[in-house]
Amino acid sequence: MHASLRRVYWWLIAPAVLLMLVFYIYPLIQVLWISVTDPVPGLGNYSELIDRALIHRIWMTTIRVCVITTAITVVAGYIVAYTMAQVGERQRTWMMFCVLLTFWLSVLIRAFAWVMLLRTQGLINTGLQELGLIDQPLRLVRNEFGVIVGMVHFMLPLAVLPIYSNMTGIQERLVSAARGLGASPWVAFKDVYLPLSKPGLISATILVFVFSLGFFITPALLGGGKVVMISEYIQVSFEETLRWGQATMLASTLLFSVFLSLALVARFVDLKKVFGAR
Amino acid sequence: MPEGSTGARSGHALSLRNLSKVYGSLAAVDGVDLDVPRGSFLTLLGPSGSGKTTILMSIAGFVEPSGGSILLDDTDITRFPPDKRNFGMVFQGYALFPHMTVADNIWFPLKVRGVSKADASAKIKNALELVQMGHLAERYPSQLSGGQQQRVALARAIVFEPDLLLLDEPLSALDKKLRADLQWELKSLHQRLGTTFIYVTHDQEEALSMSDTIIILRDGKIEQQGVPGELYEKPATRFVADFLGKSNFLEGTVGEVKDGAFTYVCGGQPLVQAGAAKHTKMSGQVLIALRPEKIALTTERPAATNAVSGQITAFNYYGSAYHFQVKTEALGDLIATTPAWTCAIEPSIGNTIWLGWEPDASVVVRDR
Amino acid sequence: MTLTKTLYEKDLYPEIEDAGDSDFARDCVEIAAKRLEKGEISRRTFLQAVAMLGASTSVLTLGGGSAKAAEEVVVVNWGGPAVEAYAKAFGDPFEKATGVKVVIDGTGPLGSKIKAMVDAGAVTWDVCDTGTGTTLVLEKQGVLEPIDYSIVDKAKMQNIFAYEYGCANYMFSFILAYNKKSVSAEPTGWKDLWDLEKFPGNRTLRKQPNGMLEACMMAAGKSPKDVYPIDIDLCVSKLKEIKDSVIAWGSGSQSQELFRTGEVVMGDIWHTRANLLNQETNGDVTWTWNEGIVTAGMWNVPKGNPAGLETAMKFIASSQDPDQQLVLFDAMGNGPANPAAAAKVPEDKKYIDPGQPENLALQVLQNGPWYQEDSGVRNLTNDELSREMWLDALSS
Repeated sequence: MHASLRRVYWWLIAPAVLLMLVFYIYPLIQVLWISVTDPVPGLGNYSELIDRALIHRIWMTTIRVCVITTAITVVAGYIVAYTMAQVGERQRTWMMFCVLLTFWLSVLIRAFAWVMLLRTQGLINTGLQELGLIDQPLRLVRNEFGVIVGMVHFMLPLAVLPIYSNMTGIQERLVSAARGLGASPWVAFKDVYLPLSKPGLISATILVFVFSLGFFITPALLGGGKVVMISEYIQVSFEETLRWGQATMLASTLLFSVFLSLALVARFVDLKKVFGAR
Repeated sequence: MPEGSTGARSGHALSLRNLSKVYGSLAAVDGVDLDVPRGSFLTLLGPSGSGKTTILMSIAGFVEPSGGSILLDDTDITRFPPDKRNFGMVFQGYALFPHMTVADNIWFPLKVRGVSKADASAKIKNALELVQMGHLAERYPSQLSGGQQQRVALARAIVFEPDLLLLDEPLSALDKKLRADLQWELKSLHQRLGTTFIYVTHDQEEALSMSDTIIILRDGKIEQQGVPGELYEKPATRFVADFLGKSNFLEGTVGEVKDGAFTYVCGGQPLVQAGAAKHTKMSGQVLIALRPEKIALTTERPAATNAVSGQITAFNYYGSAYHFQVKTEALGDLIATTPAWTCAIEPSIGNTIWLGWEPDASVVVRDR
Repeated sequence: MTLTKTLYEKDLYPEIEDAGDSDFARDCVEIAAKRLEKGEISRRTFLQAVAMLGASTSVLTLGGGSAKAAEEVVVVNWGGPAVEAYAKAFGDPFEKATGVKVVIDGTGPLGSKIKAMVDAGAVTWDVCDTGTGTTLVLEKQGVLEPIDYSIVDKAKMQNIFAYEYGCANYMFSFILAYNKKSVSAEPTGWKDLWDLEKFPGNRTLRKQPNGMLEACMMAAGKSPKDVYPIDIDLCVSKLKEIKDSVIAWGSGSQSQELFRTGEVVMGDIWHTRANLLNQETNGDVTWTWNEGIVTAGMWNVPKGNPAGLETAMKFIASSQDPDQQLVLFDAMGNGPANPAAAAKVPEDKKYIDPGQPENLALQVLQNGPWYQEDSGVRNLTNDELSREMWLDALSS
């Protein structure tokens, strides 16, 4: 009875497994295959990782932008989530609405809105100039700064949601207990609340970092063509120069670096716990 | 500010002066005056919504009172933040830090007071032994049973020798047997430490078994306070008589008042009550509370001053005792209990029996 | 196709196609679609185009390779209004003349799709509307059929646009556009774009070097006739000179937006976008044909096309008719490739036709074959090497 039931379960998930194999694993293998066979068999494409200054630069840009974006997003997301967890039901609903609102705006509209705010004659520059705080307009967009602003804005909900959902599981009583045992508000936060919100913090960090690695629209729009990230270069290699060997090599390395960062994180935390499998 | 030494005389006294807490238009605590003597075990007892937890949280500093003041010895601590009060607190559901080991949980209050773990180790060990948890110091709370967690919570609350120990329904999540065991332990802990304990519960048995003083709360006000025996034997109101233990209530009209006693008529049945006919209404109505265990059950009419007969409508056997429901003509349904091994009647439904009690077995209570 | 799976941002927002780079051919469609929105093209035309698109898709799904042989020819362009425009300009006349049905497929002949089709041996397209860049890339990949110049007439196009594996379909230019309101004097050539003192402010150049290298060469002092062979190192150093003041454009609409928001005062952009800016700013943004770089939209035939080489070539030859090209010019603004069409352009439209003799005289014809030549570095063509170096300089 038990064994046959189990077989039924396997059959039930079979379509999903098959779907994964056909539409995900197989193409993935193809990608890896192309990366070592096109244009000639061998690891020539991968040697470009070492040899070519352009690829170094693109990787460095990608990692720098992603790390900075992740750091800012996670800290800002933590503050937003913490506030949401503390305020009343009404304010929380409004905050959640505002956080999700950015999700509903198209990435183009968002990027354009940032351009309008940050450009030389934009609201911020003219405002600062009229206040007499600056003489010359600041370069706030069409550079790495603008890209990071846009990416942080894009990513914020992705950081807020896991952190907030983790925080709702933290018993407020534990913080009270800490206070009652003599901890100042800061110590109670640092020694009790912060460690307990670590799973949310880590999943937000992973989520934001991994997502950031794949970014190219926002960098393309707000970077003024000067902030080229790995995904954009993959697209160029794949669709424009048709150097599929190079494109698949970069895609494979991108995928590999996602796994690598997960593995690094896994050394320090229980990922199953972070992703709620346990 | 810990006092260094422990001992029966090191406890602190706490006073509440006209304490109140208003939520919107609802007064959760309504002008409570209370003195907690040094080193005593005081219990705040009441049903949910009676304000007992709000009072405790005000003492702890988690709830800011709307009015009145809280004095520790002679210091007004009403506006002190929780961490500046130096009170130990045991929360409902333990509130152990799940990311710390048992030892680290207990170290926590010392750590925030600047004591390194090495320096604290003796105290941690001591506190753990005090609650018989020495062998589980390196476990995490999730690896402990409910009773073990409660012991750790207790150890954590006392390790820094607080001026006062506040306990918020600490035993409510435990099963009955464990609860009974821990009642003994808590009481002996209190005696050994000499710290003033303020204990909140809705469980009257817990209150009776451990407290020096019980404060019965109702709708944010003190209904009655006193030592357990006094409260049980001399409830002032129907509420207290009903909440603390069980009672039969007899409503009668006062008849003849004699020296130290009076007669009253209930359902046509004349009965005698010792004491003065206090709380009597204009109509001459009086309310008498009669504890079930004070009724003697016999098969023949007893010699007791007050006696009625009735039929058993239901009974429960508890091993140590029988609980009977008896239907009487004059007094309606009454409950009566008797030790099982001395039970003088045949416990069977429909059986006609006699219930008898002396005038001083029952008390006059206010009808509120 | 799997590659796009890593592009999460794109997954979330399917409408962001526009944000990437675009070829000129695709850009023309975008412009036409906007005109439709504004009512400059009729709704009926648009609906017909949609219907046509639906029909062609069904052909694609049902059609095997051999079954349809020479009964029809599938012409692939960038969809939208271009479907109807191509049908009217080239499809109907060819059908009338030969009896071979012309199916206009608006899927968009991405180079990557053509390569994928040919590699998989499942070619369903006969003639594709691409650009010089794509043609050269595809040629190197070996997935195109050579143009048969015994059927297609070299004389009916600028000779320089008669590539071995592709030939001109229409012409367009990279020109110097500028905002009159933001410059003290009218710039006359690429040297002015590099003159940050005389013309302060940001300028825009394309993210891809195609059409930019020529401007760099002229800015470096080469006369228009000496632009080729291009010195890539020189171009890159020219780019670095003004890089801090450069905002790069990827798609045509981005180049337009940069002028619109006032972020740039001048730039090297497509003349079609400059024309749109000119209209919407009432002439504030304008352009000069001087030192413009003329290039062409290209016809490509994928290797093993289903209708057969001859039918495809005949279709291309048919499309060389000046009148047919004028129909396309009228509908989409694509400058006729056939010099004979120039004279037939209405007087009031001549100023937007790069192929008018007086406009051509001011410009340089882009030398596609140079892009194709070996650069001498790591087996890369000039096209490949310059793309890398250009991107590297831009992002450094």
